[in-house]
Amino acid sequence: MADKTVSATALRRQLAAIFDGWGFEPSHIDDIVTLMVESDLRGIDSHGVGKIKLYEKHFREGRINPTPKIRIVRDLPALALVDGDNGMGHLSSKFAMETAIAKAREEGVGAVSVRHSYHIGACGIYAGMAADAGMIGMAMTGATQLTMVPTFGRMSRMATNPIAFAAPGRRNLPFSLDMATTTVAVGKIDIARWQGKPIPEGWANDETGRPETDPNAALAVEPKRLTPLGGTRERGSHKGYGLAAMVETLVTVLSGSQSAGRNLRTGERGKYVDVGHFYLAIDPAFFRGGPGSFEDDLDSLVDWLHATPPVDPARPVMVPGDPEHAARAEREQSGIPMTASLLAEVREVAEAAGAEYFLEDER
Amino acid sequence: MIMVSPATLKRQIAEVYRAWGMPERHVNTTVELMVEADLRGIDSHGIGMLPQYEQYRRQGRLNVQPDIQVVKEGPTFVLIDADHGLGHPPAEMAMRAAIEKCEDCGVGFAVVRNSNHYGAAGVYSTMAVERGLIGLAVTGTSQRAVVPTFAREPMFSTNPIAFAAPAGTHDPFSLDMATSTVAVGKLQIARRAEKPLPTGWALNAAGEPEHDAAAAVASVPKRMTPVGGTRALGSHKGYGLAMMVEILGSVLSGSYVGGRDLTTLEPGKYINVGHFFLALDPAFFRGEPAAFTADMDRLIDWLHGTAPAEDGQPVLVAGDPEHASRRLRMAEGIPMTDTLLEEVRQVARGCNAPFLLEG
Repeated sequence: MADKTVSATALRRQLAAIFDGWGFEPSHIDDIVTLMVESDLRGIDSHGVGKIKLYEKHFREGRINPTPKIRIVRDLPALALVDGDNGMGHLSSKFAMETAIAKAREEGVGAVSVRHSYHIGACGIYAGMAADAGMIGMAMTGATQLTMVPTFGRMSRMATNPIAFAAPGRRNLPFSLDMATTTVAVGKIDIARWQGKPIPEGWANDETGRPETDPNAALAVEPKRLTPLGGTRERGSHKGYGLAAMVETLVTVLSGSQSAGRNLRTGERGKYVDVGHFYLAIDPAFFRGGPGSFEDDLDSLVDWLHATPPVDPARPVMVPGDPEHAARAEREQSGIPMTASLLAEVREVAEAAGAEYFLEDER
Repeated sequence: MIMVSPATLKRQIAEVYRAWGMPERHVNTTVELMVEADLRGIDSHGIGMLPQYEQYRRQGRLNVQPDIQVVKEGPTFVLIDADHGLGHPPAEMAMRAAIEKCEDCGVGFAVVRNSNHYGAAGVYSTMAVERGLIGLAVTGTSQRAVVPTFAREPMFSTNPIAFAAPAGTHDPFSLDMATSTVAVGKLQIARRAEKPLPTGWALNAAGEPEHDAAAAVASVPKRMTPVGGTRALGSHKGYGLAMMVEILGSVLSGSYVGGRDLTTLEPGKYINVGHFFLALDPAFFRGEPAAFTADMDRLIDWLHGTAPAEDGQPVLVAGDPEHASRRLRMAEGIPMTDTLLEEVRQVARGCNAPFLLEG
């Protein structure tokens, strides 16, 4: 489906030109575009450059602050509350996870809640920051729109509410789980639509709460009606729903942010999207025997799982993070695939921002 | 089927543990937490586990007189060695320590190694709620019963996650879930009802969906799926969550995974389960406790207010079934099947403890 591959460097430069055109704080732009393109490098295409159209819409509506003053509101040795000042979530999230890691280095654990923030890209990037620092990392975030229908319900009440978790090995790349608590992402339904295939029962619901198998119908509704992980009650959707509500508790209620763009108290949409996040870092060095013993055991676990007899020898058992690590190795070398329609979107956004568009000239 | 009062059930289990020679302080804690699982309707994790515990004891895989030790401690954390006793006393001690540390530091966590089965994870996460805190409890498990996505052999078990948060006027939010699609108990129910299993509950030895409930129950080892059931429906997410639990519960504490030492890949004398507990103080983040609990009430109302797909089946919030069961069973007692009564009678007879559950 790729019509062109673009180098990570070129994509960062292109996105930087757009944010510059929008008048974003210059010292923030490098972090924003680096974190956005990191999603694309990992193959999480839905959360990198693919979000630029949504960011443009929210920016034009005045729902993102281009020059936020990110600050710590409350601080204890192992805890912090960060206010994102309604700027890009990438900025407050990087700051929050760095804060959590620094606290964990001193205290064994750091827990940081972020309020008044926005979309952060892929959650797994922030959990991975802890693993890169030799720690266990956990990241959760709310999102901008209602997407998920609770078990037994027939209307959307929460967003895709993702959970990311990462832990370091020594020989192996980090364990890295990054998952929406819905059964599938909207992008999966797009793929079925392009292929003209029905979607399996358990991905989305119709307006009566029964499974929707027509991808066009599933995509036509706003808000979307995706199922929680499990898909149907019989197959455990109440577990995915419960996990989504756990995330909502930690990201929205704990921080005092909005739930999928809606104020919990008034039920109204606020001026800003006002997303909340939760970050946790734990330093295993505090209570494992020698230095590195946690990493050695993590390696053993990963090796053990990789060695599980597969159903199909051509499709070995993977460990969370394997697809992202593989995509990253590949895309660092050969670039990030972009479809013609995505390139056209980026061109439109760039032109409207008064920024130069140069992706078509790059290899 | 008879109904047994919680008090009688506690006395019965306590008599068995005393007959085993378990120290009195551990008897009390274990009994309370086991019967709490029964009160909540989590029948698989209360008295129903007693025959399994008895089997572990007879096999020499359970230390009934453990010397539970704090191995390491800091302002925010504690590492506890359970010395291979039943998991309830060290788990209760660990969650209590996490709560105390949280009350000082805003966050506290505890890791337990060399432990055993600890009943229902949710009875520990809700200990935090009783102090106005958020609680998380996850544990490794000893049986290999869940098959990773794309695999045909089980590598780990039901690795549960429990999370609880205090509300204001509502009952607390309380999620307590295995990361497998269903529990073994669900397979048993289908077998007794002679119903085929839905695709995505269990697998056969070739890694294909198993629809025959009797075959799924008879399978040694069990071959259940991670939540999601199939790759198309997201089983890789359930598998990923199960491994998150394994890393927090087993790897962080240095315990076994699926009953095996991670380095030698051999089973040991004991089953060597690890647990993880976290407590977090919402008042720190929100400035005052009432801001958090009032918003929890609003979130719960928002979810309860979802238009239902079917009249008569309202949308629930995690914990609703357990809260309802607890109220009912406190009033009417805990139902016990004849099979379970007989199993408990055998356990009592086997260790010369009195049997108290007669009609």
